[in-house]
Amino acid sequence: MDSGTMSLEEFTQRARRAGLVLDDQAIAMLFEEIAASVALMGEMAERVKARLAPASEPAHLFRPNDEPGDGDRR
Amino acid sequence: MSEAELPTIAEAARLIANRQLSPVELTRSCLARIDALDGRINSFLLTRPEAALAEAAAAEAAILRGDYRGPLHGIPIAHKDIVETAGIRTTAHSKLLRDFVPQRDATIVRRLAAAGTILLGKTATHEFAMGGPSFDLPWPPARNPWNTDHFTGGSSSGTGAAVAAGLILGGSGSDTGGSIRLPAAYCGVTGLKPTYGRVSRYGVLPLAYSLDHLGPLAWTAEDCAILLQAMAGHDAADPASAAVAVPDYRAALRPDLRGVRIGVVRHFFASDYRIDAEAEAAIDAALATMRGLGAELSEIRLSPLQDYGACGWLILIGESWAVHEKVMRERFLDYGRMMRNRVVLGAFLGAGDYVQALRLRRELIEEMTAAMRDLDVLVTGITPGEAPRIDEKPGYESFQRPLMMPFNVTGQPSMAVRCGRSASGLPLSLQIAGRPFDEATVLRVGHAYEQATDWHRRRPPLAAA
Repeated sequence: MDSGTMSLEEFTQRARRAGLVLDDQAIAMLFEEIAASVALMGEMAERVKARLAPASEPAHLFRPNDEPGDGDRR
Repeated sequence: MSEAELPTIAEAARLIANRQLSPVELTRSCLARIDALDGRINSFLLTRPEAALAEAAAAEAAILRGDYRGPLHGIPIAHKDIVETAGIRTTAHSKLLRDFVPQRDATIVRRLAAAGTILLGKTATHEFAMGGPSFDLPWPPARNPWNTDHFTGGSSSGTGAAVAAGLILGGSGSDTGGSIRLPAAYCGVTGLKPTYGRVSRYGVLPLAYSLDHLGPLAWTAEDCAILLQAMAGHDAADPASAAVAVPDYRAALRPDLRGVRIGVVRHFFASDYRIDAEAEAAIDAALATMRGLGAELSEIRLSPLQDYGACGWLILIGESWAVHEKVMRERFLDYGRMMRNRVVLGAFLGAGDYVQALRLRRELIEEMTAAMRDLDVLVTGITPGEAPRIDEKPGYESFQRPLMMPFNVTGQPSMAVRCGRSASGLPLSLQIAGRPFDEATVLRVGHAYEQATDWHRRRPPLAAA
């Protein structure tokens, strides 16, 4: 999730994908009511990612491309 | 019954055991107080006066024939209305469950009944323990007995208000991000969120599987110890229930704090999120009292409060959406506005964000475990200050002020204890957290502090009416 401002169109698309049975007017009203909270949630997600210790990231992200690692089949 | 005559559970138990207080008289008194006062604080969604009096009569008869079960025998209590009670309507304060009558008792209902408690009824909650205070539900929100224009805190709002007003001697609450401790703090009672897994959640409507806790709210720490004693213990019916021995909580209570090592997490409430000056001053005064009781104090530093908050809220949002997704898809507008607007955020949360929050949770638990290696408890802030007006509470306040969330993330026990009063006379409180499964030390610190101060000696003015 990105923390940028979500458009009504994107919001509607996501709400529909989530299966919410709401008409366009109700979706627009919901957007107005919770868009700020969705953005806040995005900020929280970014904070969590930034805070995670690099050492706990999957090892392959930090391995040089030419360095074979455990389980490497090349 | 006058204000001075409102007994704690411990006091009433002593009188009942000595046959100086009749459970029937005590129950009748509580029911009369509900009739007289609850129209102003809306703490009950349902009362069962006839059944309660019958239970009280049975308790009294048992005690008179020498079959005394212990300190909860004949004690009037109530359960938060997300706790299933067989044959008794359980609504979650929601239109969706307006007529739901469960066929089973939750484990804590069964355990507290076996201990001899008298069930007076079911108490108000935020809708499904999440959305409130709301004015678009079938029942109004509970109001703070100290000033009915003010918020009780939630979501165990009815239990907190009813205990403060002396309508019950104790009751149950649930806590996913602070829902026992916040109403305890704002209503000026004592509320304990035990360790995750300490109290079975079987038969309780879930909000977030890995953050939900059940626990007691009562007038004192000693009363919480008595209630927890009956609530706690392994239950195979709850997959998260822990098979850990339950100690004698009351036996651990002492009037002093000699040898207790307290870590003060000041940055949570003094810089990460700055609470009101009067709330901070009340905590400082309480810390001085604790030092005077023999505790060793030191300040410690953890990750920023906002890290714990972000971690906990993302997990809560993801899991509450998982709980409500099916119904919310089909009956979105049957939820109250605040509930649906909070839970639906989960529809916009990515699986990756939820997983990263779980990974951070592991790191934060490790950090907390290391920080407590040489400490017995932590003390920190719990609310921004006094309870706000009920019509002024911002909808997403707790996103940005997650003072209680750290201990839901880590699962360690945490208790709200009153430690002062604001300029306008509303309660101020602090938070005591312990090591996992060491509720005994948390209760000990709360009890010793209460014994050394008199904040618990005064009831809300409404309770004396």
